[in-house]
Amino acid sequence: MARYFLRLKLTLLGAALRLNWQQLVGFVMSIVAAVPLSIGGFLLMVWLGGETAGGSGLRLTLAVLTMLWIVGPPLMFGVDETLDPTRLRLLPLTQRELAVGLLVSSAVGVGPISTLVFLSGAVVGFAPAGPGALVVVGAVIAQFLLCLVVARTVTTLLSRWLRSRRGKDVVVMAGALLGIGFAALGQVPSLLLSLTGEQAGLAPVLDGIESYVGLAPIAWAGSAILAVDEGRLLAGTAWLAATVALVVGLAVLWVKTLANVSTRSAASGKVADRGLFSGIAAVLPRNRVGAAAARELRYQWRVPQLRVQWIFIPMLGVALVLGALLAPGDVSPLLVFGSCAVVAFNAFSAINVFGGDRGAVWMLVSAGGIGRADLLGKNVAGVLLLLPFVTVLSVALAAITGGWVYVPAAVFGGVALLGTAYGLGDVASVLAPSPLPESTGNVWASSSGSGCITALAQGLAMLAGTLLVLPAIVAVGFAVAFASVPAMLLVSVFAALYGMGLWWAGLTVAARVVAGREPETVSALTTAH
Amino acid sequence: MTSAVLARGLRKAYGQKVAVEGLDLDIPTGSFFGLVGPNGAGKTTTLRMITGLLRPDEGRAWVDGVDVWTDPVEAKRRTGVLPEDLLLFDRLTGRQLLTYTGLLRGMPADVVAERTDSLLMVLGLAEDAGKLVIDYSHGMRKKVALACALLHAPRVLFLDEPFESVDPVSARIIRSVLDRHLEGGGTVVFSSHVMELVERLCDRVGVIHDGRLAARGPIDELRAGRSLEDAFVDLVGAQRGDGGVELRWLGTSSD
Repeated sequence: MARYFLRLKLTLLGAALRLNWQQLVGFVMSIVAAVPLSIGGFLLMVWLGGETAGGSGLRLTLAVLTMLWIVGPPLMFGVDETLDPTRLRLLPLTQRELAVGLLVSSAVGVGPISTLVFLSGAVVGFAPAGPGALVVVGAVIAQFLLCLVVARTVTTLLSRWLRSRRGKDVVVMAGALLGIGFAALGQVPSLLLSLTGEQAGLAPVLDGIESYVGLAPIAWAGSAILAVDEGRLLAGTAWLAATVALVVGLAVLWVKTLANVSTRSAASGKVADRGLFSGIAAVLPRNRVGAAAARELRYQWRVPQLRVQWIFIPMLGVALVLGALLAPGDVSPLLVFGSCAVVAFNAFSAINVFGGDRGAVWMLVSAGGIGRADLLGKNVAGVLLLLPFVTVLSVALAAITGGWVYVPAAVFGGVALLGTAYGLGDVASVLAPSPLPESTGNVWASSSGSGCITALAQGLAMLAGTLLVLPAIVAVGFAVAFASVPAMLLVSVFAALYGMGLWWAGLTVAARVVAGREPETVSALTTAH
Repeated sequence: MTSAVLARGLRKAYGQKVAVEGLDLDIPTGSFFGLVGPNGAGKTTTLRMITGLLRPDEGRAWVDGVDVWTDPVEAKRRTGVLPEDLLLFDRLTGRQLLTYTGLLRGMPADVVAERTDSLLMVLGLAEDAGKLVIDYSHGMRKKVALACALLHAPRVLFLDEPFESVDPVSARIIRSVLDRHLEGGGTVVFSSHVMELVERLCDRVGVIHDGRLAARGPIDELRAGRSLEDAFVDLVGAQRGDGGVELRWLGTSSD
């Protein structure tokens, strides 16, 4: 039975690559990312087993690897359809056949193979001559199986919730937030170094963390390898036995939940019956522009990919304020201009304003055509959400740093950035509309790989936006550095007018362009999943 | 009798595949017109070209006397569309979606509110008006999409497979609403491959096959004493289904 699953997996993988070039690009990029990671991991494990490291950091590394296997598969919607038990429920398979088949399927792919290469570094780095080598090899295999089984168990346990609309929304947001979180986590070592003042300070911190993590089941295989490395063969065997027991226990739990998950339905939710113009939208006029803005306000929160920025932007604001409050010594009053940074984050979604609407844009066409009113409404919604935030943040930063004199210039600077972002964004949105990836009904479905293409287009548009807004930034910068306060204010007002001019020009051009491309816009947003 | 829908020489190709070829259509005002054809015959492509959602490679189309491609705004004012794929702004609640649709069409807010309440009530969606459309069942999505298509009281209603995957109760509600639309002088054009339904509802039929209009006219004329399904199968030239293979093993074993 296992070989049928294996063939099914390989066939599906081949079919997916033939289906469209985006998927092929996505696959190639995942290999490009996986090769250095797996080789780097292999070398890291060899180094950890060497004289310099003396095994320190092994358990922490293995724990992090296992955590990635726990968190990763549910967030990435898995890898392929062969891992979806609901697709196989009509086949006359016993639980055992199903479990073995799914396990074999989950062991094939870029991720599992990279993990195996990563872990095999431990055999080279740690395995001694004699019976200890067997324990190390056993621990590496057990750790690999633990990664596979723990991922299957967690995904299966969560699958009912993951199939619900709310679950899928959270997964989409969590994926993006996790990416940002990892980027922030990358700053932690340098932060620790700067706090401790010297490199020697970092090692005790990591050792402390490892001594706690080492007790956790996700690091037991590491403890087995370490014990063998220290010459304690019996202890190593005991840790290995514990890891194997853990894998078996998880496998039993997984098989038991498999039976339930294939016959239960997903849950759905209900929201309060508020009108379109409730909350902040109450100030909007009851016409096409107002309706477009009101809908956009809802969509910014209800489309999970868009919601991410409205979680992250306040976090950025809080970080700026806390940073200013906690920083030792005087903080430069120029930090007030930090409030403009939040606009830059919004600029990313401004480049593809119809992305969240996806195929539903036919409704705009059917109602008379996509036009200036729809673009204007979307821009108005963005201004309603962002400008008060920029203003409040500027005031808060001024209250901490005493840079009150820079508040108007920061707000006008925010308007200049926003104007440029929206003007350019409107044009880019109608020239190259692309639907935001849909969270599919299947948590195990494959991803299309189109994300990197969108990112490339967005990168180009951001570059163009930066070039356009550069004169305004340079002018304000010079004024802040060299001019008097009234002159600085005057320059920032001109910068705001410049930004608004760019926005108006962009809006006008975009409205004209889209008027002649409505069917094409609908097709682009409907078909290019 | 004037034409509610007129099409001349419509053609659309997707790469090498020609979906619709030289299609002419003439649908009288006030009729309940069924566009039938096998899967992939070109029904949806035809409807999308007539409603201004897909640019034809060649040909022209008029709705209620207005050219769809030279005066799209006026044509769309007279048109209501229920597409097959039901792609809606589904992160709005049912009520919010209708409000948004009405204002998009430039209707006064009070008229939108009044008609929204009536449509939600008649279509049996009032209790779920506060639920996000993405959480609606398929039948509920059809009904809310129909409400969006009806809100501005269009002259011509285009419905692509409106009864597919719809339960009998919802289907009856939809039929009664369509009857009211016809009584008000409107026209209904709908596509389907369920012959019994077309036979029961429509007074005129057009048969599309391989992107061409194989036949059109009053339903009784087209049937000529047979069932519509027989007439349809004769027209599109059905092949022998079993291809000569007998499948005698069917139903004989559990393995």
